[in-house]
Amino acid sequence: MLLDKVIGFTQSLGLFGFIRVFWYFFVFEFFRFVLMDFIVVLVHKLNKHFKKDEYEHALHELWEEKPFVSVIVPGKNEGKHIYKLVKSMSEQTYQNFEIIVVDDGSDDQTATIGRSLERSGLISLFIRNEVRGGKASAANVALRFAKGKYVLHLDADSSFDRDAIEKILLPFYMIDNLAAVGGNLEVRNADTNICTTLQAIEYLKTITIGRMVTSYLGIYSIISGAFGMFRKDVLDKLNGWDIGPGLDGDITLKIRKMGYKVHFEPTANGKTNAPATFKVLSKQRLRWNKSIVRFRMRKHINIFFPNYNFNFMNFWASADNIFYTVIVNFIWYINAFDMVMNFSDKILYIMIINFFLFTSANIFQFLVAVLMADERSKKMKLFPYLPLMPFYNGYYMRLIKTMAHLKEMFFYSSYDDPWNPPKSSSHAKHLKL
Amino acid sequence: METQQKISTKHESINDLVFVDENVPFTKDNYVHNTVFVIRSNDIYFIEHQIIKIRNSEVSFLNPVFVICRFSGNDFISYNTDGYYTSSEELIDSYYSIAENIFRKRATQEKLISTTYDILITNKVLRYLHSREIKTLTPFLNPRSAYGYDYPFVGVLFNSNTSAAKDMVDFFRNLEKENFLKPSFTDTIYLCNHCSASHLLYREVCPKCTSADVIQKDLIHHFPCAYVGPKDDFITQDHDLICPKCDKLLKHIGVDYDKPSSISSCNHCDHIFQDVLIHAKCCSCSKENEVEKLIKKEIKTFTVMPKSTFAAEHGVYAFNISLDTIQGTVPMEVFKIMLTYEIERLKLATIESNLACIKLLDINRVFEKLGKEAKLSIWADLIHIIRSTIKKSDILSFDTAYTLLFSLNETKHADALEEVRKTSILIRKLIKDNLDGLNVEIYFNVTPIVTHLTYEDQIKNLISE
Repeated sequence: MLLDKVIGFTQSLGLFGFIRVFWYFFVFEFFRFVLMDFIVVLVHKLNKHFKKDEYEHALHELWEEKPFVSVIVPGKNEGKHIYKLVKSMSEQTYQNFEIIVVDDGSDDQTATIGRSLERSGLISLFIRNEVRGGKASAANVALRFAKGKYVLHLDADSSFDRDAIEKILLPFYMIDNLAAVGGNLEVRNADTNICTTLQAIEYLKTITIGRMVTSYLGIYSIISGAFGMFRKDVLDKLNGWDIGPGLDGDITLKIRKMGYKVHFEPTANGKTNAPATFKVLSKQRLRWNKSIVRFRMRKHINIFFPNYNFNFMNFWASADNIFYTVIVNFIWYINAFDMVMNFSDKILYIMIINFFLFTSANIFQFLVAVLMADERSKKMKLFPYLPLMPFYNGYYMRLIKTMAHLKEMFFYSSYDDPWNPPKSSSHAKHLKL
Repeated sequence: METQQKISTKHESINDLVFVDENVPFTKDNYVHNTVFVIRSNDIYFIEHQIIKIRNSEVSFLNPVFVICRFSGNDFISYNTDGYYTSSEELIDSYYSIAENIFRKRATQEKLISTTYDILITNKVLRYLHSREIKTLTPFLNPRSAYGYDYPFVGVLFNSNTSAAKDMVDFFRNLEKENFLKPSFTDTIYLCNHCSASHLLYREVCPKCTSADVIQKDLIHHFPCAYVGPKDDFITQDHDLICPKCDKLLKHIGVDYDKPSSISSCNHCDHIFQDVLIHAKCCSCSKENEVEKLIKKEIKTFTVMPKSTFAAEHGVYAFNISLDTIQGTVPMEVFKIMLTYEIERLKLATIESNLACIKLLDINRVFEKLGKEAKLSIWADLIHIIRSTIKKSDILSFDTAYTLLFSLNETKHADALEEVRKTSILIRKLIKDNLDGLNVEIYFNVTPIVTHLTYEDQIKNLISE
C-alpha cells in the first residue's frame, strides 16, 4: 500500500536524512512560521494579562482626549458599498469622527449615492474627481481636507466591529512615538466559494497571526489600506501617499524611515470582500507581488545601505519581507530541482510527506489563529479546507509570485498596470518611483 | 392747441379729446362718455401712472388712451394703451379708426351693475377684450410686476405688489373655470415660498451656514507624486505652479498635472464642500429660499372664448360652479338636446310648450354671506324645493350660476307664466327667510317654444330679453 511505502521511506531516512530531504520545510516554514508564531502568540496572551492596568489607563486617556478622527475612503465605482460602510461607522462605539469619501472618476452611481449621503449628513464631505487620478491621489485629496488628529484609511467595501475604531486608536496611548496602526482584516465572504474560503484561511495565517508576529518583533512593514490609522501630522510631513500599487506598504516604510514606530492591533477587527474568482484573485496577487519588488527592492533599497539613516529594525523588516516573499520563493525551485535530481525515484513519497508536513503546519497555525480570534465556531468551519492550503500556497500562489517577481524585475510591468491611470504611471516609470 | 383743433374738426363721433399732461393730469372721472385720452409727456413714470388711473377709473376705464412720448419702446405703455406715438402727426394719422372701433364695440355692451369686486374686475376685463377685439391675451415681461410677467389691461387692475399678483393668478383661474379664457403654456416662473414674489436673487451659499461668502478653487493633481491640493498650494509669487510635495515645476496641464475637480470653502464657518447650495433671496420679503422649495407657476397665454363675447355684451353677474351635479337638473348640453327634441315634437303635434328662465342677478351676495364653498349646497337646496312645486315633467338646467332655465313641456303659456312667477317668489322668500332678510333681485321670463327658431336662438332671445 502507498501509505506503508511512505512510512517505510520515512523510517529509512532517519532524523538527519529526514531533515536533509525536507530541509525547505524545516528551514523556511517550521521555525519562522510555526514555532515563531506559536511563541509570539503565547507571549502576546501573557502580555495582555500582565498589561491590563496599562491598557485601562490608555483607555481612560483615549476617552478623556477623544481625538477627532478623519475617516477617509478613496475609491472608484464603490458606490454600492458606501452605504454599508457608513452604517458600520454609525455603529461604532467611538463617534468623534468625520467621513470623507473621494470618488476617483467613477462611472457608476457613486456620485449620486455620495452626494445623497452627504446631503443627509451621513458623510461629512464627498469629493468627486471627474478625472480619475488613481488611489493615491484620491487618498491625498481626502488627506488635504481632513481635520482630524488621526486619519483612518479604509476601503469602501470593508465593514468593522463596533469597537474597531476604539481598539485601533488605543495603541497610540500605549506606545511612544507611534505613528501608524494597522487593523486586523478577515474575509467577509468566506463561504461564497472555494476561492474565498482559501483566502479566508490565508488571511488568518498571514494577517491575524503573521502581522501580529512581525509587529511584536518590531518588523511590521505593511499597514493595509483597507484598515489603517495614521497620525495626521506624520502624513502631512510625508505629503500623503505616493503612486501605487503597493502604496500601503510604501507609506509604512516611509513612516518607519522617518523614525516612527508602527503597530498591528489584532483586536481591531474589520472584514473585507475577497476576490470570488481565481482570475480576479490572480490579478490582485500579481499586483501585490510586483509591488514588493518595485517598492522594497527598488524604491526603498536604501534601507539596506549603511548610511546615517540606517536603522537595523527597518533593515530587518524589509529583509524579512523580501526574503520570505521573493527569495524563499525562488529557493523552492532549487529545492524542487534538488528533489528531482537526488530523489527522483522517491518524488511521490516526498510530495506526500511534504503535503502532510505543510498541512500539519497549517492546522497548527490555524488553531493558533482561531485561539486568538472571535467567532471561533464560525472559523472552525474552515477547518476541512486546510488540506487544500498546500496546493493553494505551494503551487498556485507560488506560480503567481514567480510570474510577478520576474515580470517586475525584468520588464517593470507594474507601471503598465491599469490599476493606476497611465498619466500617473508614465511619470512614475520615468522617475523610477 | 392747433393739433387739438385739427383733430376735433375732423372727427365728430368722438365727443371730446382730452390731453393729459403734467399740468393737466387725469383727475376726477367725470369726463363725457366718448372721451379719447391723449397722454402727452416725456416722463415715462407720469405716463404709466396716468394709464393706471384711467384704467382703474369707474367710468372711463374702457375709453381709448393714446400716448405721445419722445421715448418709444416701453412695453407697459404699448400693451396698456391703444396707441403709442412719438409725435402728434403719427397720432393724427391713426387714432380715429381705433377710437371709433372701440366706441362701436362698447356700444354693444349692456349697462351693468357689478355686485362684487370679483365680478367688477371680470366684467372690466371681458369688456376690454371685447372692445379691443383681442383674441389672445399674451403676457409680456415687466420687471416691476411681482411675477415678472404682466398682462395687458389686467395687470394695471391689480397692483404690482406680491399679494395682488397672486390675486391676478386666482382671477385668471376663475376665468378659465368659467370658460371665458382658454390657457396655453407660455413660460414657467419660480416664486418666493414666503411671499410669492418673483424678483429673486440667486446665490451660491454654504450648505452648512448658508453664508454667501464662499470661495471655489480648482484642485490640482500632480501626477508624479500624486499630490492633490487647491491651486493655492502650488502657486508661487512668480505665478508658477510648484508642487509642495516634490518641489517640481508644473509645466503642462494634461501631461504632468490636471484639474480633476474643484472644492469650495466658506469664509464664514470654514466648512469645506464640493457642491454649493443655490439659494434664492427674495427682494420683496428678504427671506431665503432653497431653490427646490420655490413655488413653480406657469405663465399662460389665454385665448378668448366665444362665451366671453356674450358675457362682455350682457354682463357677468355670478361665477359658475359645478352645477351639472345638482340633482333635479340636467347638464346644459342635455337640456339643449331635449329642447331640440321638443322643437321637433312640436312640429308634429298641436301642443304648447314654453321656455323660461329665472335670473338671480346678485346671487353672489348669497354666496358671500354663506361662503363660496356653500354654492353647490345652496342651489341644491333651492332646486330641491323648486322641484317639489313644479311638474315632474319640467326640465331644469343652469345656463350660468345665476340663470336657471326651464323647459315647461305641454304647458299653456299662461300656466307656464304663473308657474315661473310663483317659483321666483318662492326663491326670494326662501333666501329672505334664511339669510337675515337678504333681498335678491330676481328676473324671470317665459316664452313659447317655436318651431322656426333653433334652440340656440330661442335660449339667447329668452335670456337677453
